[in-house]
Amino acid sequence: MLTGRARSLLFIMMLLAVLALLTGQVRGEDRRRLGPITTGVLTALAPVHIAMARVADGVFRAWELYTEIGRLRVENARLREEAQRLAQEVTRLRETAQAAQRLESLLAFRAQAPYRVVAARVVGRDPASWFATIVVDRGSADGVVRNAPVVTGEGAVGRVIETTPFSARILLLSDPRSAVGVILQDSREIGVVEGTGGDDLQVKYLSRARAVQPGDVVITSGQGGVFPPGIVVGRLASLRSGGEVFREGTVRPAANLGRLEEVLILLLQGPPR
Amino acid sequence: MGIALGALLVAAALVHSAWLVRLPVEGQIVDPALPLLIAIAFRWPQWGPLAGLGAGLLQDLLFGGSLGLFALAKLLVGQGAAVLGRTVLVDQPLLPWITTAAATVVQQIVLGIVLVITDLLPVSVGDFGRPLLAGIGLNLLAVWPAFALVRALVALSQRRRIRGEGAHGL
Repeated sequence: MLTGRARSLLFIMMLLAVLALLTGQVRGEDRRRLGPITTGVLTALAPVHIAMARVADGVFRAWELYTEIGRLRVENARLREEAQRLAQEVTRLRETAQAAQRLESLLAFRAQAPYRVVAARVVGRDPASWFATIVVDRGSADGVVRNAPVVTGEGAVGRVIETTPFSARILLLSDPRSAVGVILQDSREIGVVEGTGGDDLQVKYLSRARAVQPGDVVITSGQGGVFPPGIVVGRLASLRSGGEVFREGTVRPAANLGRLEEVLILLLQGPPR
Repeated sequence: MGIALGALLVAAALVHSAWLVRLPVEGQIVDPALPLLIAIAFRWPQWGPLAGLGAGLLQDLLFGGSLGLFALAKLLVGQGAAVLGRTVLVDQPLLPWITTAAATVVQQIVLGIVLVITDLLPVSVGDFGRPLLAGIGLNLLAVWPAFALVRALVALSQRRRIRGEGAHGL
């Protein structure tokens, strides 16, 4: 054991040695000069130091990867939400654009028609598949009357068969109970278009004597007292024999009767607009 | 025992320079050698200055600073802890924490004085504010492991001595 005096002496010697080392370093040009002993110590420690540094690098890389994965998960969830929101926005805008297009064609028709026109939104459909009727949100309070013709910008749709003050039921052209007097625009052949219960209509009582070609535009003749003349019903799709005297054909309706959303009700009894 | 203590200080210096250096707080990192050399100086006061000198020199070597800078600071801390170890009851529970906090301040002041005198690096008063507090907090984190290691070393050495004495007795 060292005495107190020896301990103090040893401490002072170490202190002086450190101060000398420090002073030598500071005065030297490169401020850090390693002797053979310090170089040896560093050399001996280097492999362990490097190995430990590599371990730390690995741990830090793994941690960075882990935090990156977490960040990416959050980012992914945010982007998914954003994509979902944008998809909803696109659907809404597409819906708006389609509605605008439909309303534009209705407006164009309304501008041409010389009658009072009531625009109505389809609020119901007949759930039974063998009848083709729809319910609209305009009724007798708006002046809608029974047998008023109903059209869209594309063409004829049907006629009103019943009304309440705030709604009306419309019998579509595709309903088997529906019949409309028509004329083929090019051949001027007269016939009657009836519903089939399906997507297409059938035209009856076409004369065999006249040259009728598929593709001819079918318009209302004004006979029958429901539809005014000149409203497009559809286009003649095919022809077949309907007996000795007449021929029959299939008509593809101009208006998409299965996907109606807005319609115009023509009030023929009212004063012309 | 000297070899074991040396190995402990070398391991602390390596952990300090390879691992803890990657976890800075307010520009400060945990200095595990500081509480370790205090723990050594408390148990074996005669080794205090030497442990401080060795730990400081290792730090100077591994961190690439001027040789003698940390050696001087840690020599003074080791000597101070050794004096405490001889004069007060070192088993008081708060003493390691208080001494480590004080040693961090002393080390910072010594480094500041040396850097100012030698003009090695610019020193500002701001270095003794938040960074010093962060340094104290970080070093306090290393107190318990450092003292636990030294206690384990003491227990190990006592067990070996008892076993040795038992073998001689037989």
